[in-house]
Amino acid sequence: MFPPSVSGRVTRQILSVVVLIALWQLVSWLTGDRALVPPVQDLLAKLLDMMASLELPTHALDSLRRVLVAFAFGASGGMILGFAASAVRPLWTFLEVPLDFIRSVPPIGFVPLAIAWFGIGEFSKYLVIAYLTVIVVAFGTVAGVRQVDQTRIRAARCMGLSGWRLFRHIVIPSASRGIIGSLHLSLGLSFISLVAVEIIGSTSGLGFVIMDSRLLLQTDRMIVSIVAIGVLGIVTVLVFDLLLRLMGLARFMR
Amino acid sequence: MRTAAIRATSLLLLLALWETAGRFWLDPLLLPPPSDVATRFRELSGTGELWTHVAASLGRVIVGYAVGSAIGIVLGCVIGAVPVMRDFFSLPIRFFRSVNPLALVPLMILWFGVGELSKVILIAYLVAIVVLYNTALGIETIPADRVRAGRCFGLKGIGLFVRVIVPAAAPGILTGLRLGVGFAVLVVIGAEMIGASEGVGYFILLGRQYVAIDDIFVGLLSLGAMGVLLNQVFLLVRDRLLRRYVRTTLYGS
Repeated sequence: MFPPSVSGRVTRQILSVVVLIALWQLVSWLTGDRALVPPVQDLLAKLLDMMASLELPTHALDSLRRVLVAFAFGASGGMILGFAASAVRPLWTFLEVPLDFIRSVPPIGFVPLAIAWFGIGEFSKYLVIAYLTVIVVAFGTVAGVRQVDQTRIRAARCMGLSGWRLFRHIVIPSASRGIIGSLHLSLGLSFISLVAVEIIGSTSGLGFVIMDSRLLLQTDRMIVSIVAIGVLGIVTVLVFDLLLRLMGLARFMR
Repeated sequence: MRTAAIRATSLLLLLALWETAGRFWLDPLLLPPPSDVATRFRELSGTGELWTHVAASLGRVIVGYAVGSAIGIVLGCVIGAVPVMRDFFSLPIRFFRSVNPLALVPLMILWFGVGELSKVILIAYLVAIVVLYNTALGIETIPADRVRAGRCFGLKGIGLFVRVIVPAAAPGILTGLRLGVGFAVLVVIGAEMIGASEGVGYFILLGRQYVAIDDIFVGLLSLGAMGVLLNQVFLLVRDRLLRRYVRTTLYGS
């Protein structure tokens, strides 16, 4: 609606960062409590400290491993379930309502149940992170398959395609947009579940560091970890998108 | 009709499966069958204990959501409509949007205590960010022709804003408001698990400490019901009062 002004755009963006930092410093100075609202120099010092002691990389790797393992299993499971349910319609009618209800419960609610059932080990963590991916990807796959143009299927049948080859060359490409969209979404959601799992019952990972800092009243360590998990999330999603593009799937992405 | 029949049978079948598994196959303490969960639900709602927790969670969500969405709409309108502001806020918004909502729970408790304030502020903040972003995006992407048409009819300033820009941006605002409901429920449960003495999140975590899995199930079911209820209320209000602003897409609204 309003034409974007190119000139000065970068200046304003840099300015915004400067103002934001200045505001933070002001708040820190006004509260007069460096421990509660640590100024930027303290945060940077803490960041270097946590990098040097390898605390940040170690816990970041633990978090990343949890998300990647859970996402790999969840996404595969979701696609298999989605395709199976598309092939056997009654199966989806059977599953849709319960899955939709489970989806409407925030993942953090399931953490205590998973711990009570499977203990505080890695398995319960993977499970809580993966289940939502399964549901989201299954819904995405079913929606994707439902959108496949029936004319294309008829056309392919006329040309003699059937069974696996019909599925491989017609159904999968046509459903890819829906599937890839749901993969992208569920990878982002996985990071929310990750933090849920790590702040309730964990002894490693960035979510654990955040909770640990709360008990020890180390606000600087907490803020560094909060930013770190945000950055980890963004970078992971960016790398995932890049991989999809490198695989030549760019035309299925928005 | 046939779909409805399959759905009803599916739910009954699922409950029957769960009942047999819980009663005869697995330990009923670990997987309490639906009948046990129902009994427990009656007990907890009979004493009013459950409703205290549900009311506490709902109260926090409603107050935080109201404050957050009001702030989000106002700021989003200003940021979306003024190009200088848009440039200025684009990086900060991107930063705050990428912060993990649950990661902020301990920080807010550290800053604002374990009382109601930290929870309401956290919910309001998250709702404000998502509403603000979608509102600004909605205003930014209004077709220029609509604004030109409004100008041709002699509208300008506040009149143009109220009569043309806000209605055109309404679908974006509604998207933000709907996403906000999910964030509010998610984060209130997180906050209640980490620092609270009532609320559905607190109740679920308590169930884990006492290894009372039937309590966890009652908590989870009320949590799901709460999410569905809030979403339905939202859709009802939207479709009754704001029907003409709903963006219809290929997937429906």
